[in-house]
Amino acid sequence: MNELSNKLSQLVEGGLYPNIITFITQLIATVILFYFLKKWVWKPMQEYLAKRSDVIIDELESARMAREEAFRMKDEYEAELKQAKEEAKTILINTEEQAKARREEIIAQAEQEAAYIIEMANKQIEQEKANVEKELKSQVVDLAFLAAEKILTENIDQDKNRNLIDKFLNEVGK
Amino acid sequence: MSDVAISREKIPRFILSLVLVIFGFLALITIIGIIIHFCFDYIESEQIFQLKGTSSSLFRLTPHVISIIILTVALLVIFKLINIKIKKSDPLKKPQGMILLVEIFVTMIEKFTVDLGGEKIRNLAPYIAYLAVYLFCANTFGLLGFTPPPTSSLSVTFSFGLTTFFLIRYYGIKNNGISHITGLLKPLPLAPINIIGEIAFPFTLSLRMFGNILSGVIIMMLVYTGLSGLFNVLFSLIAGTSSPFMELLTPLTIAPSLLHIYFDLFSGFIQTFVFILLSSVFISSSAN
Repeated sequence: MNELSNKLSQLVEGGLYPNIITFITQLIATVILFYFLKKWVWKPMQEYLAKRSDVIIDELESARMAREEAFRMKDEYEAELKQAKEEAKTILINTEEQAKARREEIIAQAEQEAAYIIEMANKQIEQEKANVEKELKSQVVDLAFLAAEKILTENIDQDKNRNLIDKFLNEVGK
Repeated sequence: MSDVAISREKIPRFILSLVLVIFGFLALITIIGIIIHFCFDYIESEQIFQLKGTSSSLFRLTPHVISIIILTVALLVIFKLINIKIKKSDPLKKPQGMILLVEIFVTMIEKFTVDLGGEKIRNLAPYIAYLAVYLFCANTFGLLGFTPPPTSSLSVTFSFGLTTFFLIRYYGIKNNGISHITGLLKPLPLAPINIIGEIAFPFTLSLRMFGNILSGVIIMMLVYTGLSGLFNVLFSLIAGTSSPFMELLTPLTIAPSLLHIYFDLFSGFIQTFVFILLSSVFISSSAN
C-alpha cells in the first residue's frame, strides 16, 4: 500500500508541479515536430494534391476546349450546309426563271415566225389570185375575141346568137 | 558483387528496418542516459533526478521528459517515412495505404480549419494537424507502458495552451490590429471579466487535458494494483504462500483492456478533439 501511494504521489507530483525542464523540452519538441511535419508531410502532400488537381483541371479544360471546338465546327458546318442549300435554291430558281424566259422567248419567236409565214402565205395567195385574175382576164379577152370571130364567121340570127353566147358562156364556165 | 546483391535481396526489408529501429531506440536511450548522467544528480532519499546546482522542484527530471523525447523521435521517423512514400508515389495513380491515410488526414484537417475560420487561418492548418497527431499519440502513449504519457504533465499541456494563447494574440493583432486589444475593454464594466477570461483560457485548456489523462493513468494504475492484489490474495488462500508471478495474470483478465480502450483510446481521442476544436475556434474567432 505504501508502494502504491508512493508511486501515485510521484506520478501526481511529477505531473502537477510546474517543471521547467519538461516545459522547455515540450516547447523544443513542438518546434522540431511542427517544422518537420510541415516540411516532410504537409507541403509534399499539398504539392501531391496540387499536382493531381492540376492534372484534373488540365484534363477538364482540354475536354471543354475540345467540346467547344466540336460545337464550333458543328455550327460552321451547319452554316455551310445552310448556305449551300440556299445557293442550290437560288440556282434552281434562277434556272427556272431562265428556262421560263427562254421558253417565252422561243414561243414569241415561233409566234413571230408563224405570223410571218402566214403573212407570206397571204401575200402569195394574193399574188396567185392576182395572177389568176390576170390570166383569166387575158383568157376572157381571148375567148371574146374567139367568140367574136365565130359570130362574125357564122353570121347567125339573134336566137342563134343567144344560143351561141350561152354556149360560149357555158364553155367559159367550164 | 552479384552475390552481395542477392544476399541483400534475401533479407526481408522489414527485418532490416526492425533491427534499425531497435538499435536506434537503444542508441536513443543511451544518449538520454548519458545526458542525464552528466546534467543531473540522483537524490537517493526522494528517488528523483535533480538538475545539477539546483534544489527547486522546478528543475527535477520527470519521466514525462523521456516520453516526450521517445515520442518526438518516433514521430520524426514516421514523418520521414511518409515523406519518402509521398515522393515515391505517383499523384496520378490511385492512392493506397499510408498515402491514402495521410491524404485523407491532410484534407480533413484543412477543411476543418477553413470551415471554422475561413481563408485567414488556412496557414494554421499544419499547426492543427501537428496538435492532432502529437496529442493523440501522447494521450495514447500510456498503452506502450514505458513511461507515463507526456500529456499527464501539466507543464506539457500548459506549453500547448501557451502556444495556442500566443497564436490567438498573433492572429487577432494581425487581422484586427489594435482593436483586438481594445475590444476587451468594449463594455467597460465587463473589462476585468474579459481580461480574466482571456488569461484563463490557456489554463483551462491545459488543465482539462491534464486532468483527464492523469486521472486515466491513476485509475489504470489502481486497477492494475488492485487486480494483482486480488490474485495474490486468491493464490495465498489456495496455496498458502504469496507469489510475485501472480501479477502477470492481471492482463489476462479483460477488465484492463476494456478500461484501456476507454481511458486511453476514447478519452485520448476526445481530449485531442476538444483541444484542437477549442484552439481553432478561439483562434478563428480572434482572426475574424
